[in-house]
Amino acid sequence: MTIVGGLRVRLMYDSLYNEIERALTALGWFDSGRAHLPINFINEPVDEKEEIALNTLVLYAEDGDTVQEEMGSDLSEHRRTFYLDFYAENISVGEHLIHDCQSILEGRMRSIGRTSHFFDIYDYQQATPPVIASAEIGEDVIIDRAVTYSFPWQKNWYSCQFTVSDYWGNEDDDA
Amino acid sequence: MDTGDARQSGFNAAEFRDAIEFAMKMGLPGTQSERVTFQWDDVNTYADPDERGQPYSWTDSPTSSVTAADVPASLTVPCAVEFTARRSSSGETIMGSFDASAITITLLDTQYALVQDANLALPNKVIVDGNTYDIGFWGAPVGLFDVTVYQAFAQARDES
Repeated sequence: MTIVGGLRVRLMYDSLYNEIERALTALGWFDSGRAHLPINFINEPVDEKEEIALNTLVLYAEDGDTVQEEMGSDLSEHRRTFYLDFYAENISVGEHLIHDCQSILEGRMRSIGRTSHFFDIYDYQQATPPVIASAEIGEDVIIDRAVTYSFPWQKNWYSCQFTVSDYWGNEDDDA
Repeated sequence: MDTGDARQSGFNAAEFRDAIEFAMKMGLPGTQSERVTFQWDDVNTYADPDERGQPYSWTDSPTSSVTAADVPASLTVPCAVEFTARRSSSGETIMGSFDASAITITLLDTQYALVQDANLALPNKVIVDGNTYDIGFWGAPVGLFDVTVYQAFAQARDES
């Protein structure tokens, strides 16, 4: 039976987070002894009015919609807009990491196994999570940087906006 | 500074410094940790840095490093502190478009000389009662004959 609805979205969300974390780990961003503060990667929105530790990377989702894919079936494209916000300790770290994220999402890093803009969705309910589908990252991965800010930790605030499309139809469809 | 004006003789710089420093000491909190403490961040130099002094490879080790162990890790001197609370809404402040509490620290030249370090130059932050304030800039020095007064404008990084 095909996993749909909220569970599907949660699995997709976790799979995306894990894929980005895996890629950043392969690039060494979480290694110790590097010439920058530790990177803290979290997957829920932060309160911007509370102090955010420098070099915190945040993955969160905002708006989503559904587009009917074809006549005569329930297959739909379920789109969700995601953001990676990075509160960098300085411009050099900020530019480096956020554009690494962009290339990871675009699938332009063969050296760490990111060769396409798709990522696998895993069913983490299982002890050995199987791949249940692949989600697509939209071709427009947009980098933005705050030029004005209200709090000190936003001085080097970078944001990466992208869209994830997941395709499914009905629970009765074959997975 | 000698103005060449006889009226300057009426100003005693030593007495002025002593009186102001006495007033500053009078205003110091009784607990050491509650006083303004100047601090320096480590300064690393890399062999192949970018234009901002940061290495292109984050695994590079610095070729030289000036750490807090080389200078006073922290320093407390008599000074005057003026606190400005966080605004209720965002807006332009003297430091820019910030929405955080700020302090203005006033030092006489004698204390300024103690704070100014030969290796790391001026401190980049102060700790006041456990809260960290980043020093945004030092204002234009103000002279009073032989005495020079300095002011540092700092903004809260966090507030407990």
